[in-house]
Amino acid sequence: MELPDRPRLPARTTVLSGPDGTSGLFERRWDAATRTLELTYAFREDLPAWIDAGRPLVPGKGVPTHMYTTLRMMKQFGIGFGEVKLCRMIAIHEVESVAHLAWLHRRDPAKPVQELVPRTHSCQYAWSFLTQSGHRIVAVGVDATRAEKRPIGDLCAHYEMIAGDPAARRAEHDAVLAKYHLTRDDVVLFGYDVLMKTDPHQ
Amino acid sequence: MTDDDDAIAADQLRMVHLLSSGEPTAQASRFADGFLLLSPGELLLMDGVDLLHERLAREPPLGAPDEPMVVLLGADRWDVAELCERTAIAAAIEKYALFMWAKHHGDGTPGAYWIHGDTQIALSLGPDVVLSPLYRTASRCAFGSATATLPGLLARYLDAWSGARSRS
Repeated sequence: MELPDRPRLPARTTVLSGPDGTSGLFERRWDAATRTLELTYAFREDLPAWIDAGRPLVPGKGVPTHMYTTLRMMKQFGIGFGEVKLCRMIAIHEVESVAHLAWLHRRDPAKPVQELVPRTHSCQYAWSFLTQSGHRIVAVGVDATRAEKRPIGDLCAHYEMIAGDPAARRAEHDAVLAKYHLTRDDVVLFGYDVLMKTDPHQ
Repeated sequence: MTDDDDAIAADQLRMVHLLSSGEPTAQASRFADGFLLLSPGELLLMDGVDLLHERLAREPPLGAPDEPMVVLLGADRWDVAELCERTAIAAAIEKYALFMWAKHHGDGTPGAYWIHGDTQIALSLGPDVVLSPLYRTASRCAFGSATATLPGLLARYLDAWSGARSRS
């Protein structure tokens, strides 16, 4: 069997436990040689959305859990302020981002996907922690080599079945689909990688 | 057991190996603990895709009739379907599925936790088994059950898989 085309980077897989038995799964990979950070998993699940940790990013709320966890993991890798050159988000399956991209594409079909992707939630989320860790994004690309085009209902069903509360997850998905005027039969692109080239903040 | 006890027949023994590139993840260890009582035969549980690649690079024959069945724990979502197509592993359990099982294991909640395996065998397991619409081909699929536990479902699947392997 051939080894994967792209080398696997050293990974940190973190299960973050919160109050009352809540927990989420996060994984990031880091290649110090190429200064590439990969975002592979971010499932907040039932963890609180905000963490009260020192100086709040939003007064009265704290720091977003995703951001807090990613910054902590970057620190554990030993990544310095402004050190990341490339941030790669692997295989986007997030229903919110996938649905938003489909809506953007429907509204503006002539625009290339790499111009639409930066407006979706996954990119906004990466933008926020990259900014906080001393970076600015200078270019965004999309690698759709392993992406799929399928009805968005297939993607939703897959994650609803595995959810702790499938009915609640289905309701969340229905709300997202309604927001972007999509039905479960609409064919969408998902599983693409987003590549963000970064420079240190000036 | 004392030295005076009767010996048990070799075919009554089950052998399960849990391989890990370092300390097995807590989730993999918990899963193995829960799975040991249910496993149908000699089995190799590999904790993580990296280890599978190392094993394949070192010892290419995998899945031969006299070799243990291989189940990959903690597989990565984006390449698990491809791995199943290209290797002779019996089944793979995604990292996220393992996490969700560990998360809900304590309260005894069964769940539709996805196992990647052979489509025809998954379809033969019973009416409680559902196939995911993702990662599905004629030969491979991701499947789960809303009523069975993950270790229980994997044991059922491997029993059927080993029966099919011995017939072929």
